[in-house]
Amino acid sequence: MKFSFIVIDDSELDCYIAEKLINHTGKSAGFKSFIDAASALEHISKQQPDGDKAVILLDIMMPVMNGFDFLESFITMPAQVQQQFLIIAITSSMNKTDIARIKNYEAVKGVIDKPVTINAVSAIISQEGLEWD
Amino acid sequence: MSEKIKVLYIDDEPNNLISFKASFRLDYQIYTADNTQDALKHLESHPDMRIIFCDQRMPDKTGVEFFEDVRAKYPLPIRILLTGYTDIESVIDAINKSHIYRYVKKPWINEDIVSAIDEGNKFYLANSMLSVKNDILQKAYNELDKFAYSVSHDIRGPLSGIAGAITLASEMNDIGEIKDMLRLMGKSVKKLDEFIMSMHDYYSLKRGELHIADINFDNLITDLKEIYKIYTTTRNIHFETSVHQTEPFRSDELSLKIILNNLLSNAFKYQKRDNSYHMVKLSIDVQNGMATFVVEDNGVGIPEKHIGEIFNLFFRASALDAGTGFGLYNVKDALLKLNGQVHVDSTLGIGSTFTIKIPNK
Repeated sequence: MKFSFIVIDDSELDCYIAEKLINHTGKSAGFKSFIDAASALEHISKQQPDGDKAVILLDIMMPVMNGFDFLESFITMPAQVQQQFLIIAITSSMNKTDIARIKNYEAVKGVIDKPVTINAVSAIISQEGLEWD
Repeated sequence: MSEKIKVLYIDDEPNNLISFKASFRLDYQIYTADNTQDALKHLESHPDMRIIFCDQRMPDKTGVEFFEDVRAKYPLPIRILLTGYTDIESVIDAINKSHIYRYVKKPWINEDIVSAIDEGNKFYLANSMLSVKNDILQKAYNELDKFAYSVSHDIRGPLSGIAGAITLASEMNDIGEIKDMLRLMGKSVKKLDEFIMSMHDYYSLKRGELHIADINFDNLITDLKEIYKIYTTTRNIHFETSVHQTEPFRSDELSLKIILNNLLSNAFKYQKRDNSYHMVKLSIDVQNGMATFVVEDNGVGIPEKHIGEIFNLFFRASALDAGTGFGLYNVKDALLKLNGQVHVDSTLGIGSTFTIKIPNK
């Protein structure tokens, strides 16, 4: 199946890199990026379930609303909304406490150290038993 | 010493209390109690009590027992036992369990009491100095923790972005795309550079000494206008300045510059994109031994719930990709060094005004 992608990262450069990487695979059904988590949350809450899955690449450390705040709101959303998304946390902080804490969320399927690579993303997708082609 | 050392004496014999007070009241501030209840009341109302003398043989409890009770709630005052030779066993035990600092034998001679108070006082001062130093150390450790946490993110973040961009760009053929990438890489480099510069400010404020000299505000303003020229010309932001000075003003120029630069760069950075008129205003007013600096902008403003936090280290109230989380912390630090004050007025979407007051040195 094809996935669409949502990147939430306060670094404009990291969003841009992710966009190029993902578009380059030719296996993406759509791409959106947000430099603040609040707008991403708003966008997600308005999505109508259509059976397709979207992968969210979520930066942990962001100002105002960080990755944890985002997840706290995300897990209060209706189950049919949540089911559409596969969340992968991305980080540059190497902070073990943060990484352990983010892995505790059931919604988070994996953590990737920056810079993001397509191999790391597809490894997590297939580990979830999904096929990306 | 400006204030007399406070000494509490507990003894069930009123004559002892009277003669103790008569002998030492000129040199120390003496409080007396003929029972342990009254003694506790004294301790309650005088948290700065330095020395406690207590008789060993009292009707309701022994001096050692009283000190055991007192130690848990009032650990700071120095405890000294007054007792005759017959109680020597319990004294040794009490000293070894560190319930008491020393003992003075009864009947006492004045020199022994004076020396016990002086020695006890020295011990008290050394102890409290140690706890002050400990607090400072603890604060420094906490800040170091925050530092280590943030450095790995704020330095490694832009770097890993650049590393990713290099890998990607080397596989690209479209020159337009590569140029886009270079522009964003440039931004990350600039951000990293800003972070390191503010870290340098942070360090010079923590460790540096003040160099007090006459401040020439006209030169200062000329320098600032030069620094922010890039914003005023390329982004069309009006920068208005005014100086009103009736007397010379002495202060530390480096600290002043750190304060003004951080406030101004925030004012220039956090502008509203959709405004037709962008402005930053700096006014300086020196009179009656006080300099007042007002930095005003009509930018994005600060959400009310965050105003209390903006001076914290690594706090960022905006998702705009511009802040380092250092700037206002450095402002607060510099103000502390200059005995200055800051007041913030800000409305989300309307703008912010920072008012700084710094006394003449």
